[in-house]
Amino acid sequence: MNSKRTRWALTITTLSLIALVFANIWWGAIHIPANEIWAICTGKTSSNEAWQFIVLESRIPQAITALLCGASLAVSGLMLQTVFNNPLAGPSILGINGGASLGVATVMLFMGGSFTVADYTLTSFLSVAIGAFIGAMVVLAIILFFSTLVKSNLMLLIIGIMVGYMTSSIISLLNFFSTAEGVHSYMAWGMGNFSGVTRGQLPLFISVISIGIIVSILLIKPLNALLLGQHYASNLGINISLVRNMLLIGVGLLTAITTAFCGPISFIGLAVPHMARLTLKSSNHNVLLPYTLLFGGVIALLCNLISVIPGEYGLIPLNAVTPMISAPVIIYVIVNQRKIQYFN
Amino acid sequence: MEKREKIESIKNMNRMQEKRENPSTIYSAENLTIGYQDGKKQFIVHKNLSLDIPSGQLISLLGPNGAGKSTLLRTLSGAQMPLGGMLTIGGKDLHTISAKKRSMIISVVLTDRTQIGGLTLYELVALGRQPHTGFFGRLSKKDDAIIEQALQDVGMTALKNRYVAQLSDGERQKGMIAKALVQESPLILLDEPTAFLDIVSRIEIISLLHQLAHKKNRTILLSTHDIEQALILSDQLWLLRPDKGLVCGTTEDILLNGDMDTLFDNKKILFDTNHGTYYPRITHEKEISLRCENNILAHWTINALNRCGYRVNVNNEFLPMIIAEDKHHFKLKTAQQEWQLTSFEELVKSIFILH
Repeated sequence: MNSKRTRWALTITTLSLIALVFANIWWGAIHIPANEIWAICTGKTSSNEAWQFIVLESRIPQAITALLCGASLAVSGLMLQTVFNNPLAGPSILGINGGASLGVATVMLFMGGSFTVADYTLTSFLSVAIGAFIGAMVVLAIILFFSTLVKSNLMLLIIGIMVGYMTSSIISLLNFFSTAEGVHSYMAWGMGNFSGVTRGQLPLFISVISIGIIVSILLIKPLNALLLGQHYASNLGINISLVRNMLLIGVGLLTAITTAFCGPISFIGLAVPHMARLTLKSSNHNVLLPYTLLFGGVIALLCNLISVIPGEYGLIPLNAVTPMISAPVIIYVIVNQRKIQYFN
Repeated sequence: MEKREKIESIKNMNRMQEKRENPSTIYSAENLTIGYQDGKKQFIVHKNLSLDIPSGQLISLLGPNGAGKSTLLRTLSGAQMPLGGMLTIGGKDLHTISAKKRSMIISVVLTDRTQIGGLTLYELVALGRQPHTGFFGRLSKKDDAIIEQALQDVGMTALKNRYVAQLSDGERQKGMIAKALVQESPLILLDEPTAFLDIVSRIEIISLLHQLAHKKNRTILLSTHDIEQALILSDQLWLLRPDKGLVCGTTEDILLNGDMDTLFDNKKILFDTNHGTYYPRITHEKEISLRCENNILAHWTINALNRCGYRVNVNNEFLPMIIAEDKHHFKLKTAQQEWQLTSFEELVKSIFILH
């Protein structure tokens, strides 16, 4: 770990994060002058009530949601990559997003579209979130179980992809039996969207994510030991099954809550840990993990900003933006793996 | 801090207990059965192993592939449950000791695949402090001093800020040994630490381990295939044979008792007690006589002749005879003829003419 490099990276990323939060609040379907936005953010009343409503009820919650979702998915990806000793692991590729989606679909479609994503009541929201959590935990538990049987990393990834396919085929079946409204709201949710959390739901959303992030921070020391592999780690006094259970809860919570609110967002969990490692030139979780949280926030805010670029003409679905930013990084990493330090 | 002191005092107590019971043995196993448990099925690798690990010695565990060396080391390290028998360390049953305390008693160097290329050497070695550090693994000044000392002990201080990815295989292995050192465990187990290394690194590693055992009073048990180096520097040899179990003893006792011949169950491989190496048995159909004053020259002349299928008889005048004066002057005499030869190349060619 190069401390000068780390300091620079942290400074620049933090500044970008702040800039992106403001850009996200400023830019949107309706043009609001920057000085008005500043006034609203600093607690003064704006001359235009609609603007005030948009900023406080939509744009600020959306920016916070994007930041937290990005951080959650990125840190989930990092934890999975280290624990599975596999640089291509991530919540979407291992089917954990898929599990959460299945949970969401089950709840949504069985409720027959009686509610849409835009207006969750608290109970309906809770049932969706719990559905997502159960789905994510079940898939993660299946993957952890297979990881004890299958020694090859590649094979484990393929099992993850297969589990993902199975969840999506069950979702298709559910769609088949559900009402048109149910399918429609599920489809809209599936495109990914950071505007799903209203200001009223924000406190709950933030609390659940905080629990997940605290779990990830508690795992920093064992994650470093796990860089040496499981056998070395347990010789260093790490309780492997405890770590696996904490991973189950941490990744389960983070993936579930983001998926329930924002849809199955792909690639951020896979790519951001690599971007963070490449920037820091280190796999030491003491800095890598907090930095991945930060970087995840930056990337998600950037994706959100791109998705609102058309302004009044509508939104680009988030899941059309994330692969454009993330997939080239993964390809770069795979092509250059001999040169990249953390592979060797 | 209090907790650390408590653990320290337990360690000291352990040491004192050991001393009362048996001054030199730090670890022992009785009637040990090693192998794998799969549901109700048991795959037994070895039964009735009994062993004592004396303190401050370098012990080499030798055996053919598949003899169960790794299984034995994993069982001794506590990573794998024994299928039967008793493991006693410092007067206590190994499996009653918590994982954390065990990590301060036994450290390991394994052949596992790691993801540590993106750590610096210093960060790698620091991982060994994990049993001693607090919740977030923050290093104290004392920890830093211990890490620096270990880096110095393995001779890698200059490389401490390099990424592990930039180190050679031998340097990486020394880093792993330094990691084991900072765990401050009296016992270090190494599973084939010299595999995949070139000869220079092999000799360096084994000399380093020898030094650590003798100067730093660590007890070191390693499995290896480098028999020649093991014979020179190990205080004890343990021979693990697939069907005949384990033989332990001081290196020279094992050598001269003829135990080395029982290590490999293969008639084509013989142990050369003079040179401490294994060699392939070559069948000699033909005989030849040799006269030579110089021991080294005689050794290599015999080597060349054996390879060509000749058994060497000294000074038998009824056989064709080679007279070796120095490496450029050989004579090959038969009853009919005599050749002057100036190199082994010519010698080897000309003895083919004999038949």
